[in-house]
Amino acid sequence: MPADDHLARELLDGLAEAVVTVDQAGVVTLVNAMAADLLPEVAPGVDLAACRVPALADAAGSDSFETEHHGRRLRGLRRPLADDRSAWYVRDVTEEHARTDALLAERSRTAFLAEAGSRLGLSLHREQTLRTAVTLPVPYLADAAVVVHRPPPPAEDQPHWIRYATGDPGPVTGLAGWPVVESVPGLVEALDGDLTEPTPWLDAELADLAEVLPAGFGRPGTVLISPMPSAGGPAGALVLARRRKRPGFDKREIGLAREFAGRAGAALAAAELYGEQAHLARVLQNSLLPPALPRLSGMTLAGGYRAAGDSLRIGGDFYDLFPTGDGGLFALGDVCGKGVGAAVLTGRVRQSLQTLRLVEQRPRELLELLNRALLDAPDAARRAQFTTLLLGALRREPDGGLLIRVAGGGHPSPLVVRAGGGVETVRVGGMPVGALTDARFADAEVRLAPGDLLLAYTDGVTEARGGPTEPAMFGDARLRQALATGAGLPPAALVDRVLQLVDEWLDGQSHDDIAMLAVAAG
Amino acid sequence: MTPPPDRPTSAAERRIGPDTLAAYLGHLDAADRAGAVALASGLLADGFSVTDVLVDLVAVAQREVGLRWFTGSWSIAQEHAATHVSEQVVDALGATIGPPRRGHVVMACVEGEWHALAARIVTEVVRAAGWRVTFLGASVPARHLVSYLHQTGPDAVLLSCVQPNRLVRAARMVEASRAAGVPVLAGGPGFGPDGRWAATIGAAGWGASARDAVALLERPLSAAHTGAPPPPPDDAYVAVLHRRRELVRLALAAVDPPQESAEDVAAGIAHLVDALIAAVRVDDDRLLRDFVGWQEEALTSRGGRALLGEVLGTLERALTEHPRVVARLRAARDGAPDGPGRAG
Repeated sequence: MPADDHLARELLDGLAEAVVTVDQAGVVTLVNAMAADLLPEVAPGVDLAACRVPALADAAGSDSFETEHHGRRLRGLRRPLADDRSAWYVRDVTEEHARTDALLAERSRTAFLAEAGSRLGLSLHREQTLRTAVTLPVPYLADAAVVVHRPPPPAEDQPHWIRYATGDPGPVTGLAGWPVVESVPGLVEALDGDLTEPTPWLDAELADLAEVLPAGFGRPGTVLISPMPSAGGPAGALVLARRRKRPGFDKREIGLAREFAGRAGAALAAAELYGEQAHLARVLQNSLLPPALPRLSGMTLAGGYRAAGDSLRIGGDFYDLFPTGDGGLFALGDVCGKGVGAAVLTGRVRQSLQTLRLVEQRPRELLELLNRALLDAPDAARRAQFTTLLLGALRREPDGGLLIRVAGGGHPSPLVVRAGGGVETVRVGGMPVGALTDARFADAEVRLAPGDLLLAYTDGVTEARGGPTEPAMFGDARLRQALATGAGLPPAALVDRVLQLVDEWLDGQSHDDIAMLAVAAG
Repeated sequence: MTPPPDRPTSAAERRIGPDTLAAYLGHLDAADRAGAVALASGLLADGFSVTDVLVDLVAVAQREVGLRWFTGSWSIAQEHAATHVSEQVVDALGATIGPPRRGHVVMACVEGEWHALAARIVTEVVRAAGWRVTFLGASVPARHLVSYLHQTGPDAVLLSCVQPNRLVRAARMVEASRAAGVPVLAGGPGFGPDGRWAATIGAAGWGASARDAVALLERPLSAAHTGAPPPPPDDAYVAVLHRRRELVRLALAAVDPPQESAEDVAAGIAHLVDALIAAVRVDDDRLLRDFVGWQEEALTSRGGRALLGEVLGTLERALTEHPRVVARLRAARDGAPDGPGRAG
């Protein structure tokens, strides 16, 4: 130990830590230079328990403290000295603390953006994306989040809002109207896509904003409006509101809000684009999906349809039914090819039949007419697409039976399931439609007694490749067996049963389009 | 206590009794659509709700129909015809429900599941509770479900799964829905006793009945049930899944059934392998054990018990590099004290 007091003093004053010693009574006996700097209130002779550094005064009973003092962050530790005296060692941890704060803030910011990125990326549906966009910033960034957006055409160009606030059970939506939007400073600019920096508004003239905030929210403390830009123009504006008791947005939070609004805008734009495409597809799909079958007296009908694997569920197989004076006319066919391309030709065949049946109702003659019509279409030869088709005229008989005249164009023969369980083939024949100008078609006639059923199907049924072991075709034999054991079932139940068996046979393997149409007498 | 004759008991105090059920089953037995619909409409006129009639009559009757088919007292054709009548009753009752006043939910049956009546009943009961419900039909391919979800953005998917061997497909549909940002509420016995496997595959909740589905929808749906689902607890899952066809082939070759029953046996083996994969997926031996107990009866009529033991033994030998999977097969083969039966 240095015997020289002067040297000891010099050593103490050279320390980066503040040192304060107190005697048995708690009165300060010594402070070093750093202590005088950090804790000017503490001087020798001062009673530490009554000094004007609250944290130090309060720490009398404990061995450590941490406090803000004169803008510095201080952390103190007490060590006992001999004779019941003690020393406080106090460090200035301002920088260290700021670094930790910044690191934690950066971490929470990254976590927030990562969460936002993954959640905003989930849905391609506009409403759902909006719901996500207003739920995510609450409560992390604000107490209430509102997205003001303009729904895409054909909706009217009126600003709508969607809000989520702490305490709301879920997002709430409403129509904003231009007057409200115009009354909020910066909102029109953000909606128009002017890429201004988001600016916080302090308790501004935001009375009109009350309309979109929850009832008990009161006047917001601060409001931050950020544009939601996207590649296709502005997708909307994000309004973040904080309650009065919460501090305003700092620079970092403003940057974060802008970043989030950008991501939400991009997600919203993607959803809008998808929505447009899906709408287009749905309109097309609705015109091409098999129709709901009409109810015709004296007979029961059912259809079954499974398109080859695309999510549009449209393809080259089709069926249709047109009521006639004494019964009906059915069509079931298979256009060569798959997917949208085949579906478009399907639409053409169905349209043509719809029109041509007005001038010709005898099935074989109608087939011939259809053949000419299809070949007459512009560039029919170049496309070289053809259709196999069955047309059947259904005529009610006085005894409750049905007389069916079926004309065929190269299509698998329909099957008749007798009420007693017998399964018969109705041999029709004929050549495909739309391929050759001099194609020949054939027809056949069959009578259904009450309880009998006729099933027309496409080759997607029998050619379904699957099976539990080596891939094999479902085949005629399995189809006949399924029908025989289902004799007497209503058409809908029988069609479902065959669809189910084929589906089980496929066991998840991809398949061609499948269509079935069943008609029973009675 | 007998009510005074001039004041009939209100529907709330009554239940649909066994006599009504017997009469309804009579209509199903006779494939009498008009009679069944008239009986159901009569109950509505008596003050019973659509939900009461669907849950306490149609659903109960359907369980009886399933039982009659399972025990062989009804042919498959009778079962189909009866189901068809009940479907039309559900249609008729559904037509009396008013317009929706709440959110939109989608009802789907797991791919491969064709018995859609239970799902139809849930659809109408949830509609009766005020929701807009889209019924996507029996056996919904996962990709159709996903495309529908992106197009319409519903609040939730209700997914029905009756047989646990379809749980792997159900898991894929849950995964796909979560990825589209839509939480899934599971329903049906396929998710295990008390729905214990529903949470494992990432569903937000499980219900046994149509009324449960309504109750589940009353609770707020959390975004926690969207996004990536929890990973399979047993990492052998993917390996076994990829060998599915090969395993079916091996087991079929080992039992070598006579030609005429080969396809039935092969289908039974495929279901068993699916149940094994599902048991690995949810990491619970009980799934396979219960399934084997159930399958025992189904297979017994086709090839005897020895066949089931042979199948399980072949799978054990083929999967030796996955000791945990082998342990599962052994547990199923030995049966367990609380298992439904001993196999092999």
